[in-house]
Amino acid sequence: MSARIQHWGLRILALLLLAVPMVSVAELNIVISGGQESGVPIAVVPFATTTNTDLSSIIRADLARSGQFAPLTTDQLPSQPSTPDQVQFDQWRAGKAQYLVVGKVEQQGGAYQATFYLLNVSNGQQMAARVISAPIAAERSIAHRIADIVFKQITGIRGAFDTKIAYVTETDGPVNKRRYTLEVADSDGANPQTVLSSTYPLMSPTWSPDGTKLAYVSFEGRRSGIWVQDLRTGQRYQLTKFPGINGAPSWSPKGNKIALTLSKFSSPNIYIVDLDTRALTQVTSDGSINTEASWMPNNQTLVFTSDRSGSPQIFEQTPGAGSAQRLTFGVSYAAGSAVSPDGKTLAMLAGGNGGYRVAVQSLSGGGNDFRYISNGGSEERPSFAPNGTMLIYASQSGGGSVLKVSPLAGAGSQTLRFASGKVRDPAWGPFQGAEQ
Amino acid sequence: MFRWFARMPLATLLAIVLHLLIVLAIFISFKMHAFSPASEASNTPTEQTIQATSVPQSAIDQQLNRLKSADAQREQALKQQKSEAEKAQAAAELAASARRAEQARLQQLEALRESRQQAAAAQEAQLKAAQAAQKQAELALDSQQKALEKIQQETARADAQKQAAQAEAAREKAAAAEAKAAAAKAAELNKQAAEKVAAEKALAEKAAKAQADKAAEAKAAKEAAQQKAAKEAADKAAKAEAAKEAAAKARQAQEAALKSQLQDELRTQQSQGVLNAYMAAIKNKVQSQWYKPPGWEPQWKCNVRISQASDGTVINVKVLQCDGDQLFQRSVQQAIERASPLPLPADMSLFQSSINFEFQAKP
Repeated sequence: MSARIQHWGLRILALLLLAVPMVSVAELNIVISGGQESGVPIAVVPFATTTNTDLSSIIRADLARSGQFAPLTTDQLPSQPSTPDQVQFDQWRAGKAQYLVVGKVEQQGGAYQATFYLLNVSNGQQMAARVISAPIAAERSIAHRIADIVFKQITGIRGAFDTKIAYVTETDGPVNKRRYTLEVADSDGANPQTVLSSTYPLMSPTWSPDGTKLAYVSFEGRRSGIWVQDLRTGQRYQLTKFPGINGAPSWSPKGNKIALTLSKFSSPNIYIVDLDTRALTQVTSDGSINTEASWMPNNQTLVFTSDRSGSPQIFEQTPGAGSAQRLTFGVSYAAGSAVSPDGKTLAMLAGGNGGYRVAVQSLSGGGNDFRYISNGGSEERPSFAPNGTMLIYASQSGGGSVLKVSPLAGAGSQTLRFASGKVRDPAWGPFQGAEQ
Repeated sequence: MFRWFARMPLATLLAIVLHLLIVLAIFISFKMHAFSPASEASNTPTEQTIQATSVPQSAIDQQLNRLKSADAQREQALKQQKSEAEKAQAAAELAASARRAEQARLQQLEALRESRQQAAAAQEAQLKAAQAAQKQAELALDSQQKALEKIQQETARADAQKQAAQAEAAREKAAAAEAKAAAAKAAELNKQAAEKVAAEKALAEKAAKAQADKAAEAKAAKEAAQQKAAKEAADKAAKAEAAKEAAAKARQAQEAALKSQLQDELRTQQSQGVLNAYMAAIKNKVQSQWYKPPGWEPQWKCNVRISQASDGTVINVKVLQCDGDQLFQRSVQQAIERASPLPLPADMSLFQSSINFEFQAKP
């Protein structure tokens, strides 16, 4: 009898045990680590058009140059819709693209009008829908503006494709036959416009923060001087003509000052010229070389190259607020600095066993996060894109030199194509107008 | 016969009276004899079993032979009496002789009663011993059962089996001990019975007639006892069988419980396996869809909670805490959205509508 009771007791126990969930699945926690490093896969479908424009390829190149996107080539596209209605999302979801840009271009009088849509492939969401028009001559700017909107929508960062770059070219030839030009082009190197042509060397252009003027070094008259030129009118004036070196001008973020290097009758030092009063302020005064100043966003602090500690290194100094602080420590040669628009990143030309390469580090990190951006070995002083995501710099190539753009995120660079000759001293211009 | 009666009426009458007296005496002695074992038997039913079953056939045969010879003697005595009556012996002499015989018989009967009481006492002592043995055996059984219960509580299957085997061995050992005790007891009782028979033999020699009747009654009683014993033996066997069955059932129940437990464990393991596979499938799909944008930093982490429909379609992605820039955060969201519908588990009871993900930039 007792055995029988036990028997049933065990059965009941077994039933109770079965009733209790065997595995605790109250909450699933899954760790995803690594993933595959890749630019954001994006499909930019060729725009439907009766014109002979090809905006989509300009957009693709812009996005690719940023290093943060991996645009699909046209042969990877499963179809070529031009409106959201035509998009079969299931078809796109099977592919790699995470985002989709579709649109059309129509000619309306002397202008092109583009209508485009940015779509999220995974959820079918429409992230942007815009109409952009521009004169036929500025057809490429439509593409750059679309690229800017796409970039902003996806990264949250303002795009810097619809911007300008300034640079100097030098045509080869005998010394007395050489030609120097100051050029302004689109950020992808297209549409170059010569703003100054000279038989004397031209150097170190710097943009006014409103993008209307350039200051640069010209050796006309066989001596160096700082010149300021209005890009809209072409009018120019000489800002400095001190004895010795007049070099490395840098326009302040607020546009009211220019920092520059003057040697006068001794070693080069950093000075500031007030553009309103023309008052000159000396920033450095030691016996070493101090040059290549650039501005922190506060419009006060200067970052510059100095060999006061032996080899060239980057220092930071605020006029009237104590002595200079050294910023670079990891390399034996650090020069040609540039400060990112947000003041967080320092770019430079770093020298060592691998030649001269573009490198970056955070301004607050003391060099701990120093890393190289380029790997050519014969690069020159870099310049930040206004959104801080890219650097443009000259790189010697064969007998000449070219301009390259490298994204700060990721590796790789894109070479801007020019007809011929040496191209150097690029300066990336500011945003044009208000953000769209 | 009638002629014979008619010729010697007095002798015949005397003979009849004598016979009646003998019958009465035997009846009384039977009554005295018959009740004591019966009461003993009712007191200790189980003991009788062993007593009866163990009496060897040869003893019975011996007794039967003795009884046969007693019958023959009685026949002869009767003949002698008849011839004496025929010779017309004095009735008084006969009566005196009869009285003497009766006296002797009564004395014998008293002796027999005493010896029987002694035997009964001895038997009772034996029975008590046997009872104690039985009780011990029962205790052993009890402890064995307790051991079984204990075993049932054990979870580890191997241990439980081992213990069950041990318990089984203990049980067998106890059973063997019990059987041995029973055999010893039976032998003792056998001996006792033989002694009893010897006493009866002596009595029968002294009073053949009474002895014969008593022997017959003893035989009857013996047979009854034998039957009863047989019955009780059968009962005991049945009881033992029942106990054995109960033990077997308990073992079966225990085994069933262990088996069920094992199955539960197996089920748990299987569920864990299914769950692991489920999580791995989700992880693989999401990870394969994660295009981590350049510019990530190793310490970046992003915790998101998603909810999914029963077909695995991601309904909602909630970013709980996220390092990195928007592009990184978007890549995480994209990875989940692109992995939708998420894989389903082989066992839908493991399906979870809410899942937490931690994305780690560091590979």
